[in-house]
Amino acid sequence: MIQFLTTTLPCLYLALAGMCAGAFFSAREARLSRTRWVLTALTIALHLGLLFARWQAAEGKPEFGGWHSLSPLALVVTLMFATLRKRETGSLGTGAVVFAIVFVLQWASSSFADPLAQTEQTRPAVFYLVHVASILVASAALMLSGIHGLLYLLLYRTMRQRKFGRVFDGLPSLSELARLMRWSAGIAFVWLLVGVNGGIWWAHTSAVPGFNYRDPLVLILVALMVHFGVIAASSSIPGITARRASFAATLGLVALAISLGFALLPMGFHAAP
Amino acid sequence: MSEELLLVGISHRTASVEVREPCAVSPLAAREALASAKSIPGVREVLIVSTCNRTEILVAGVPGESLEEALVQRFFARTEPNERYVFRGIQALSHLFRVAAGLDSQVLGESQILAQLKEALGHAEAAGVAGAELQGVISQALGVGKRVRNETAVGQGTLSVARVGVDVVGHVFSDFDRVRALIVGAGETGLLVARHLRERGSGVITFANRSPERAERAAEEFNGQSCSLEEAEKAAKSNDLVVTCVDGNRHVFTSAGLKQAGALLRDRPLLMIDLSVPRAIDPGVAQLDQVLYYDLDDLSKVVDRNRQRRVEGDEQSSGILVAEIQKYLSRKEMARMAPAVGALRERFESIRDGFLDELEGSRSPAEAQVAHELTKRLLAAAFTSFKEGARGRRSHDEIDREYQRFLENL
Repeated sequence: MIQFLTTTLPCLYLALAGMCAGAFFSAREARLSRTRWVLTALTIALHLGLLFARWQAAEGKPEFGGWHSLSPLALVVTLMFATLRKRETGSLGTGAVVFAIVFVLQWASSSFADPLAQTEQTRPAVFYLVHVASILVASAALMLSGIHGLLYLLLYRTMRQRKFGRVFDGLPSLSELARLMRWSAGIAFVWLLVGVNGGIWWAHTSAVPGFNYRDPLVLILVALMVHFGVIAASSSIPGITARRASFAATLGLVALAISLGFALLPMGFHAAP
Repeated sequence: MSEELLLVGISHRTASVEVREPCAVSPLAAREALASAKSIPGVREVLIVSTCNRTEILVAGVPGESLEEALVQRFFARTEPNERYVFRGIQALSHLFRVAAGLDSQVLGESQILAQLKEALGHAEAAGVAGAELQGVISQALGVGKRVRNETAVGQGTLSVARVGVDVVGHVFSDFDRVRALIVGAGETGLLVARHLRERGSGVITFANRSPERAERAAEEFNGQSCSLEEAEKAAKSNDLVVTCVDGNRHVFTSAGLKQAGALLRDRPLLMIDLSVPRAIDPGVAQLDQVLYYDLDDLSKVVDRNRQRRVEGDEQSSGILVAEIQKYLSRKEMARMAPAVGALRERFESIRDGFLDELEGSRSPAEAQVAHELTKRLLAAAFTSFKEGARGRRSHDEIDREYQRFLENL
């Protein structure tokens, strides 16, 4: 069952990305809308099923560090996007990009992580759980903020060049992209605040070996927290226009990719086992 | 019967406006014109469609050269033969369906024609000259019109520059209620843009005009604000959208002026749409960081793209039209056979009843029930064959070929 779900999920995410992209380029969104919703719901259900199956197979102690962390991240991004999508008028362009990224995350997790791996920790501390869950939600929000920022820049550029093609027709309006970019940034900021402080508290109280504030991942996460806090509040900061905030969110997306790299590479105390 | 349909008319495709004008039938004159058409020998039902682009007389009656000649003499006497068209049967039906679908309109796919067809039928019904035949034809034509617009690209995208401008606004600001618009020029175009913006639920609209009285009148009509043309640049600061549609040889908005007015210190971009010729906004503003600028040529590109999509939709609509013509012909064929079918049913039933009467006393109620059921089933089988025969009388391919010939001859 675990093997089946591990191989099926990347295919489903790829199908969703393809469906969004196909509908986006052929402008037949209305006809496929219901199918997309059904497929999204099915994928989420199967993904939850995979995590539950792993939990059971690992006797309540599944490994969720390193490559394993990418699968829950993919699920949280999908859940958050499914919630966000209800607030968007044109979500095909964003859907294609989001599901493509989610596919890469799930594919990497399915390919490089052992689904039956168990953690050595017998009973995780509460602060550890808070830290992991918060960073997961924050990373998903940060990713969505970056994607919306990137699409804002793409649409803005297209409109400046006076091209009235599929990008112009298929993406949500500039104001909507900016709103969703800031909304996601706000969520990322709040959860990073909880996650980083929860993690520091846990590392101190549990005397985690090798912990120090100069750890590359800790530094990047703190920097991201400040960065996205500024983006979330940018509409009331003079001089930071929606376009500049979008550019900053896109840079944040790149920084997130780097921080994920640190979590996967053998560097610092966050290194993959 | 479709062979009984005759359509005589002129349209923007065949005649100039000078020729069309005297042939037009106003709503006030409709009753008299319909009565006049009905008085022509051979006319059973009649309907007149008269819009700014066409005048067409649709008749259900006994076909013949004299009928056509009489209609031409009465309604199109001042036209040359090449300025008018005459369609019969399937061709008349094809033309009517194309008209309803907006495929024959000057603005391809426009939907106003549907209301005009309904109105034409209303006039004919009020005058007592439209019966089941034309009611059925027009009702189906209206259905075809809706179907083509829903299932093809014919009705998609707008072909009005003012509306395209407002569509562009929707790509920048989806929260229309928060959009503050400055319209420079309170003439016909300015008011049209304001109307489109209001339809989409825009927020406060400010009008700037050379004559302040006109701006005030427009502001009053749209419950907005007004300012002078000289104050327009300063007013841009508090607005998200600037639309200019004003005559004049000088730029109302320049890069330097906008910078000086502080109009670029904003979170959201300033959308500037120039519908004026010569342009009222210095094209150099397009280089400013926070400005999205479009002129008439840019919006015309969108109009051209929409038009192209509609043309593609015209090609997609052939299948729908042919299927609808076939549906109409089957229905007519069934209606034609209805008296024969009714007579046959009566004959079967009288034979059955006579036979059952002969057996009176020697048959049980169960046997009578069997006899009833048997005749019912035999009749049902026979009627199904009739229906299939009616449907298959003109094949889809045959009608398609006829429709394509009709298109080639247009």
